[in-house]
Amino acid sequence: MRKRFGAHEVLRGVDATVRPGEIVCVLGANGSGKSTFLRCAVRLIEPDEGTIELCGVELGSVKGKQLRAARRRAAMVFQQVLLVRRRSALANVAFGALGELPLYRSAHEELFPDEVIERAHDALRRVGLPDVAGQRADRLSGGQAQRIAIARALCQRAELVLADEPVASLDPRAAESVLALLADVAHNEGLGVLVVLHQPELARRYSDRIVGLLEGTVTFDRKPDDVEPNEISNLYRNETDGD
Amino acid sequence: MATEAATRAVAAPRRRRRTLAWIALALGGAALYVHAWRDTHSSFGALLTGYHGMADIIRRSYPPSHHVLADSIRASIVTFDTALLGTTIALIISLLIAPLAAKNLTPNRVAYELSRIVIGVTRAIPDLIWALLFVTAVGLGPFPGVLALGVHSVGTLGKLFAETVEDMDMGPVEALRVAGASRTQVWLHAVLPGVAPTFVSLTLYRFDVNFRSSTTLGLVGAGGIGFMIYNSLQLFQYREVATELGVVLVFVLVVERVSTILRSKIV
Repeated sequence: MRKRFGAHEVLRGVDATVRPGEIVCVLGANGSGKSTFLRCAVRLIEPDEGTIELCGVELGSVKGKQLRAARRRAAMVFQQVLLVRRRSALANVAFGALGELPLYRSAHEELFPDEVIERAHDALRRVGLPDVAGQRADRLSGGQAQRIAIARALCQRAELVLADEPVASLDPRAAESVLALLADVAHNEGLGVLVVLHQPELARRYSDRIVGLLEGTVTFDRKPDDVEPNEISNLYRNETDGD
Repeated sequence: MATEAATRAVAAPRRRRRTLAWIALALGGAALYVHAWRDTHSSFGALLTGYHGMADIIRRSYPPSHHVLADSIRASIVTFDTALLGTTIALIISLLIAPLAAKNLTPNRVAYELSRIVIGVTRAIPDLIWALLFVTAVGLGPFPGVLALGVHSVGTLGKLFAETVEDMDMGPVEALRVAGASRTQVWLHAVLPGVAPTFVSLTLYRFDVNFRSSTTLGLVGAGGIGFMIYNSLQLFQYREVATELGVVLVFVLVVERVSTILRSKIV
């Protein structure tokens, strides 16, 4: 995959695969192209070159309804928790099912089918937050809100979760619990999980593979035990030099 | 020392240039005001001689006539209804046009440009002119007033709604787009909940403005209390005018107060 913003080439031929039941962490310094890569993977940003295959569908060849249907198979968990603030936690989880509902059943939360509401409750139970269903999203803690975002992915019945620095704004304990949940989602629910992280230690502990990204190119793609410490420190070399 | 001298040498011309710029700005501003004063034939003399005329009108307005009180209240309610319907029409059209006119949500360039043209044209033509056009088209009465306020307010509400959407946090929009939500679903569940308090506040403010405007629209035949005031003025019935203006004042103050309270409760 290649992507250029003006004169700056952010992605210079990035190639990565995530399989079902696997959690893959992407490590890289600021500006290495991690977030662009994630957004290009679901065509929130259009890549200039390359192919994206999402659960058997070539994303570059579809548009409109087909693109929306293909996107439904991937869910995104963002660095800034992107919940609709003035809606309940349950409604935010149920929003994961919007793509499969016709407009007349989705114009308001009250019209959502019982099956979707039940699925949303189930997703809340699976992320350990059955009691916050009625709380407004803007009253949740950072860790709870990220768990709600993951519950939305479960309610969406996504096959792939793309998480862009999901623990960046969390304290260490909440960060651990969110990553443990993502690993659990991968290993026990069979979803593929691709996480962009800034914490090499967490990446080593929770991922099945680590992808190193340096200036828009993949420098390594291996199991955590096979990644040398200096390979990781090389990724952040320029940042340290800059300091 | 050498550095300090060099800094002063650079700073002095810069200060002179700034002073000259200020003088030019002051002279330009003064010229503009002199031109405006002459262009509008403004005159302190006319103000002094006009004082006697105004004093005469005030004297002839007292005491206000109570015979037209009931009619004035009824006509003010018509004016209120005109503003209510006009604002509601504008609200509905603006809610439809805002997602097209907001750069971050518009589906394509053509939709954006067309919606911006609609907003620009409806706003550029004053509601009084719209009222004259609609009076010609559908006849005298409050209905052309409703249409005039509705059309003109699309320009203001549509523009303000679109700008509110452009300033909103796009995070929830991205999140729902990735979940496969359609444009309408994104608008209903990610955009509206975030901007609703601002939309409500803007609409209430617009209603407040429209109520005052609809009294003026009556002067060109669009019914309501404005039409009554116009008729009384034509017949030199200043005591009736005093009652009608008093009722308008009470209505304006009540509408303004209620809308302020609602805005503070909602936002």
